Amino acid sequence: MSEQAVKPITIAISAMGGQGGGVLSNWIRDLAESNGYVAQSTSVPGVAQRTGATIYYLELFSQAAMAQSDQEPVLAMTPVPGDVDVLIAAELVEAGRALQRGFVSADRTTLIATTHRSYTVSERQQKGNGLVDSDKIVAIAEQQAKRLIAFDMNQVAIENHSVISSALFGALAASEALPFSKAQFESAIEAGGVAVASSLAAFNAAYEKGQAEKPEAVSEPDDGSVFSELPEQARTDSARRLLQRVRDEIPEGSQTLVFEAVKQLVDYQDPEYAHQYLDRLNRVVKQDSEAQSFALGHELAKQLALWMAFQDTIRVAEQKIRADRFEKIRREVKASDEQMVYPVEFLHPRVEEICDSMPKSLGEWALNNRFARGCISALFSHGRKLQSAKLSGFLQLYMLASMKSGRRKTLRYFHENNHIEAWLGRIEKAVTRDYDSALEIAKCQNLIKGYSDTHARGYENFNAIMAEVDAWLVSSENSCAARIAKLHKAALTGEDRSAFEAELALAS
Amino acid sequence: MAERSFKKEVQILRKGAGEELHVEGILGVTKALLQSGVAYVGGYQGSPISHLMDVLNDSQEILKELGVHFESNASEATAAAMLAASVNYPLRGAVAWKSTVGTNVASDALANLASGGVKGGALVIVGEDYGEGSSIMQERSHAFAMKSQMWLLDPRPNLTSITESVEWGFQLSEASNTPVMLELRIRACHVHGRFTAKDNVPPPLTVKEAMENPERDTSRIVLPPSVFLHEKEKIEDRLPAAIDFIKANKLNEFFEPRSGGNEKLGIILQGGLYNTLIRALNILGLADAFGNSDIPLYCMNVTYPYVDEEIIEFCRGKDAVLVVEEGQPDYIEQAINKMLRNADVPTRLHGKGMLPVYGEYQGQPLKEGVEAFIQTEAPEMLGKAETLAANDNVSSADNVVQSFDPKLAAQNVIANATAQPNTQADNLIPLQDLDELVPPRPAGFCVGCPERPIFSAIKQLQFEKGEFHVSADIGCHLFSILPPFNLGNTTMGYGLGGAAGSAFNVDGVRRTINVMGDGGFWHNGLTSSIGSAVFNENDNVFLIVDNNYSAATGGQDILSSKFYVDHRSTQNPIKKAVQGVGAKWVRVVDTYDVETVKATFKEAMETPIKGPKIIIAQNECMLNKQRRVKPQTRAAIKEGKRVVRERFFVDDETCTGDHACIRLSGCPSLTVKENPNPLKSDPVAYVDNDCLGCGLCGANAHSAVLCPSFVRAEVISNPSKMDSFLHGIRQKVIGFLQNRLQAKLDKHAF
Repeated sequence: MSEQAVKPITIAISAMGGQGGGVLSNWIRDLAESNGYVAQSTSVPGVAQRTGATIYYLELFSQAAMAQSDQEPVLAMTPVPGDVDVLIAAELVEAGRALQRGFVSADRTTLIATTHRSYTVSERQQKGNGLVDSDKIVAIAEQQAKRLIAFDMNQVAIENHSVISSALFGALAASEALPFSKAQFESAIEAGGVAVASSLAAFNAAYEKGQAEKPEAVSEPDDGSVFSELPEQARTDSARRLLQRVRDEIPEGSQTLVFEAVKQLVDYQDPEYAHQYLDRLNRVVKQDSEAQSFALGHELAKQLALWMAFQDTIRVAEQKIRADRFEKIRREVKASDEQMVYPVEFLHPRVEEICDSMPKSLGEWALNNRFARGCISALFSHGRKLQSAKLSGFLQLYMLASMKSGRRKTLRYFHENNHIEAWLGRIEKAVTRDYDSALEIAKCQNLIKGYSDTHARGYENFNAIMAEVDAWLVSSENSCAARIAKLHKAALTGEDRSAFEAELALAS
Repeated sequence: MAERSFKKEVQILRKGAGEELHVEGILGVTKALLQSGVAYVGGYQGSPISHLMDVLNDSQEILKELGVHFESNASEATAAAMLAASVNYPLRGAVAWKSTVGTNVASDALANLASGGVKGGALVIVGEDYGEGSSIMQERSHAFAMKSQMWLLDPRPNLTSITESVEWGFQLSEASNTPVMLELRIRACHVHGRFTAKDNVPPPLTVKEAMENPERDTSRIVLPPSVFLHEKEKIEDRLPAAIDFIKANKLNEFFEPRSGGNEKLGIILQGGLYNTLIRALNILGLADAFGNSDIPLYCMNVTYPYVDEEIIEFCRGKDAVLVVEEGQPDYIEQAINKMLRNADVPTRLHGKGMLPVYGEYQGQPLKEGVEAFIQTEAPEMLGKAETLAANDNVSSADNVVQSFDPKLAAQNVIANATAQPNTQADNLIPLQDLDELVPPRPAGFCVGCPERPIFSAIKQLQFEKGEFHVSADIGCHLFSILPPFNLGNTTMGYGLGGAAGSAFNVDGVRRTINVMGDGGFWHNGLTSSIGSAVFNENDNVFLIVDNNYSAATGGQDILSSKFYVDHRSTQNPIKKAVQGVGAKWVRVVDTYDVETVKATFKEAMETPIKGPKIIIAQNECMLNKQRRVKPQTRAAIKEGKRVVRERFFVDDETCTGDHACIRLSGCPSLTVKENPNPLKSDPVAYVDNDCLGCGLCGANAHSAVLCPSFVRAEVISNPSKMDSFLHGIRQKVIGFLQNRLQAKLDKHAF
């Protein structure tokens, strides 16, 4: 027998601690040992397994080959780049990590990768969108592996009430990278004796999916927002008028977006508010440039709508009491028909939010009057747990939501409205000088988000950038786009304002 | 209750001669101990050796039947000291711990043990926590063997070799009256393989029998003038005896080259690296899968003491020899150089010049090192197999060391692999792009970890008071150092969190926080951190994380564990212990009550009371709790009992995608998902189905005044009649009002 032929089959599992890589290892080992192979598996135990990236490694060796030479094979403890037959990744970035370490080679490695993501802390903790590009990892995997099987194996597991190891095992069977039949794989699960039925269900579902030719596209959070088409006709008069305005006044490429915005603002307040939105938008759209494919108008349409639908206490209360929300919670916690679900809302409005919800003059007085402020503080010094599906909790929220008709008189509305107008004014001025600068100013709206302190800090950053804009508007500089973009990015970086302040200090 | 139960697996320990066992390394070692007539065993948990302690704990019945005493020692020092039973009596004893940290802790007792020597075989099994997956500083146990004159075994990492080394380890110890260390690398501890069992052997002399017939030999006690004689005996008697035994029993192995091999070259290696080296040779076309190599090998299953004669004999007549020795300093290579010099053998010796000076010897660096060796000494031997690494890459030692970086090594491999003619080469995405696509994923707090809320609270207090100096300790709580908490300045050793902060016992604007876990506390923290702080009137804040177990090492029970444990005394509160050593300001808080934890830290920071401010933060390890409670809950639901399950939920419409909650938690189940609003591009927070409903999300939302998006869903199974009655009324009223709201919206529907 030639040296090439007498080699172990090498299998690496790239996973996160606690994901069940051990179960998968055991199945593969049992599968091999019951079907004419000796198997060795290793793992790294202990603290390394607490949710961190880890590698399980297996080698299988044919007993026939052993008998022929009458010798024991020497099996290795860790994978060697270029020497891995099968790489199983239990999470997509872990597939990327294995690729990075060279464990996937084009002449040899079958890569079985789930496309689901378990986001790392570094991605999740960003103030904006810090997620890595999953499609690109899949593309690199496709280019590097001899064969790639990729789909959302976690989803397959969930659909079959199982865990990812069963789905990975199914995809492994489908790959036919190991010299074992599907029935032999199934016997290994049966021999394991734990949750056999659900494991087999997930195994079979993954087996079928795994036989597809192309890796499945990744679905994940991204910016490629899809809006629904404009309807032929609206059902009510007020809606018809708005729909007509969108058709008449908005460039075609932005109509679906603006229509979505209009729908949201009607839901947020009333048709009149949506008209106000279109009026504001038009001030800029009129000056927008077809040569730039109306990029500014498009961006502004999005940002303005989001700002106008600011999250005040009235809006939050309204969101909490809607029927479809209660249904959503039931679905999400996987409640059966016989189970009851009671949400407990964690609310902690501060004095500022309470006063913000009052009519402007009353709110201002309460904020500035020590006694009134003290009373409100005392009432709301602790967080509240409100049972929104029980009567007293629901009614409180219902009352608050009913204040919607008076929203235009609230202190919060007054503030937001002033800021929106000032911002729009800057954009109108900027677009006459530099299109890109106007676009960057429009984008800055997304700095204002969150609630309480987070919201206040966002405003602080926003205002600091606007001060820069104002300085630019009276200067002779051609553009401030690059500067604003940098500041914008810095404001979304890190937890405190240090990155932003450093960036701010650079120019001054 | 340990994280993993071996109750089922330990039955394998009863198997008799001739049976083939398929087990994990750790279980194999336990079986080997029983086959060796061991009289007592003990140790201290810690990866990668924790499971050995769990296995022993779960096999107490079998141990008892054989008359073997098992002790779950309080620390490695305690375990090492226990080997004193082998000083006067022909009792075989074995203890285990994680090295080198455990060996550091044990070194006082070990040095005394090694000085006086032993009568019965004394074996220390060390899990060498070095390289990938290690959680400690990177050092070698080798230095301890040398400085105390103990013998160090490093067997080939297959179960047959490992289990046999246990047996001859005892024999070597007895033949040379010296304690012996058996080193097992991380993956060897957990390698799952097979070996052939022998019958268990009850100890010829039990500890009971020894205790009832006391004997003493003052010459073995470390007290002048004996100590001076010990030094002499170590060198003049024990060392030669050990070397004779090793030679006579062929503990080190010579592997002759296969036919057509090259007698003029040789490789000297540590036994534990044998499998990896063979694979490296195999990939280079210099060995087959069964280990038959073109190059002669000298495999050191005993890495200390060195058998000079064997080494000189192996090298004599060869042009060049490569020493494969993992870690630094290169003790073995230095010693061999001296041997060859003294013996006037002109063989060229290579080692760290061609292999990485530091770091774990995995397949890739070994392959490159051997390739560099062959390239230099006998380049004609290469080219037998297609090798991926380009030859000019390995001509200089610099390149080799550089490419030890696994990433770089991988890029070399890939660069060469993709250098093949490829029609679509232009469309290839450069692999360097992976650097941006693959964020680090260090180990962290598990889902629902009760330690996370403490650090949420401290972080929130920092927003208010400015940054603290935090002296961290060994244990899961050490993950506070990583994002998103970024808390912790140093870690000096198990139970030494308080001691490590002791220099800061001066008046300052902000007091320091000194962290310790309950595991570290009972390991030595009670005296070295708390006792010392009380004695020195340390004015800082001391946090003791009490989660019922030694959680980081796998959930082993300790003195303050809350549950009744067979064979052990538990339920001894930490509060009583610290008050016992004189602490005055002591508070016990529930970790999940973030508001109270925060307020307690604030009080501790501000109180005028002198002396250490001790905060004991209690709650159970949630994963352990789940293991305990889940089956009970499932049974209760099945029986039709009313059960309320809690889990968290984030309103995706209310969430604005700022992720402030994540920056205060980092819980794996508090993640993100696509924003349901097509106008918004930032992902929203999302609680996935792994949520254990620990309550931290809600507590943070309140104490940090986060946002109104957090909801705790209470899911009632088998609702009572009262539940159903009230539910009906609620549904009616709420449904009516919801319809009214909907009607208003419908007036403007599109």
